[in-house]
Amino acid sequence: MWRSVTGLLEWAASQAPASGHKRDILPEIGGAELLFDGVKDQHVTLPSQSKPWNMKQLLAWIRGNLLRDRPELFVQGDSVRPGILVLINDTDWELMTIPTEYDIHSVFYAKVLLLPELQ
Amino acid sequence: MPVRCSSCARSRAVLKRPKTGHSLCRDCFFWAFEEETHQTIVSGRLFNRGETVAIGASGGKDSTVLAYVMKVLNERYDYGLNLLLLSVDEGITGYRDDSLETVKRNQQQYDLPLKIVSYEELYGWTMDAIVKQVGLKNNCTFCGVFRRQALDRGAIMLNVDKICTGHNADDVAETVLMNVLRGDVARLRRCTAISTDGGGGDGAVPRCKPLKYAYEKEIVLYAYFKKLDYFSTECVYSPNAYRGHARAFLKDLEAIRPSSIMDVIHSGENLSVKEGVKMPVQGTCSRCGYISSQALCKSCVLLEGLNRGLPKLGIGKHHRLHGKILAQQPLTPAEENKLKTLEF
Repeated sequence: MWRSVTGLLEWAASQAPASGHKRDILPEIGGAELLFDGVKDQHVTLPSQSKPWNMKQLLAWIRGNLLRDRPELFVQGDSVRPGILVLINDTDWELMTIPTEYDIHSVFYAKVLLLPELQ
Repeated sequence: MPVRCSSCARSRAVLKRPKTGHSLCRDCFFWAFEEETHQTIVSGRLFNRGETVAIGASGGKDSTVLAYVMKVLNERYDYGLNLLLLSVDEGITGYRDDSLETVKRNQQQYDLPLKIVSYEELYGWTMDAIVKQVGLKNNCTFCGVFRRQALDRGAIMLNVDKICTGHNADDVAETVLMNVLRGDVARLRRCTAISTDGGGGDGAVPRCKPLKYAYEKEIVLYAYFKKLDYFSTECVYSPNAYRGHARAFLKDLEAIRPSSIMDVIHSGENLSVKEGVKMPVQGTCSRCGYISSQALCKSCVLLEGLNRGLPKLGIGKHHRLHGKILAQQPLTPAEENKLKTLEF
């Protein structure tokens, strides 16, 4: 029986540059959606597994499945790169004792706010 | 397993403050953020009653939050200030046009007058045109120098008494690190000052940083929870900026020890310079009258370079050649080559 867990990932603080504007000389780095193929809102269905998914696994999954190039701008080790804020159900994940071990329950909403000037 | 607010102990906490480690609920967070900014303003004696204050507004999170909080505090504590928004259009297609739209919305939302000054009208050059000539490595130098003057000129046009900018704790700490890394002792001494007095000569309006002790994380979350309208894409020319390295380093430090940011600022504030170290003396530019420590202000030197097709004039140390050029003496071919466009 395929039991799916749905998560909504919304990149809350980035906007793409005006469409149609091309810069030939620069690699396009800037704005979280550029790391995610230009998509701001994502609904994902995670494959079922015996134990609940936790944030560490979710991030690894994102790294493997959603991030195009430059994964190091988003994930660093088990967590997100310093400077990236994560809100889960509109709450700062830093409130949890060990944020990456937070278990994701049946439906959850995570929003990732990116501080600009990603390098 | 929701965490209780450490202040009111009633509501659920929504964030953990990097500055103090406290967990706060939405309302207590808003209150703390606003009150601390009020304390910064009062203890720094940043404003006087009746002053006209221009808020440097880029449409980004810092200036949006600054405009919002200044308006709230001006009313709550009756500062008696006339507030307005002042914006600079650097002429960066696709970036600045969009953020200026945000500022125009802010004008409506906060009901504050707005003035926009542009590089085009002040200098005859947009950043796009500058980057075409200068390349990608030193363009931030041009932009920073020009913007500072642009803000002053806009403020003078409006008879403003003071300018306030949205520089936050992270910005100030990065600047301290940058100045250490570059060996710029004069700037290192000045950069943590919460106000500058404008230097007496004409051309520079006093300015201050009410958000100097506010962590960037808190500014972002304040804007988010208050649902403030802001524009958040980084400047398309900035990936090569030196500041990015200081920033990455500081972010890594903050992750290990959140108080690092305040501590770096504290170190910067308490530095003193050894006796006998030669410091530049503040004077005025002989061409435009703006505040300057050299005979010609940086802005004039950079502009001269652009207009002459010698973009490196003003970048790097070519002081001996400056004198020659500005006195209209011809340069040898070797000297000209040093100042021409850079390869990248």
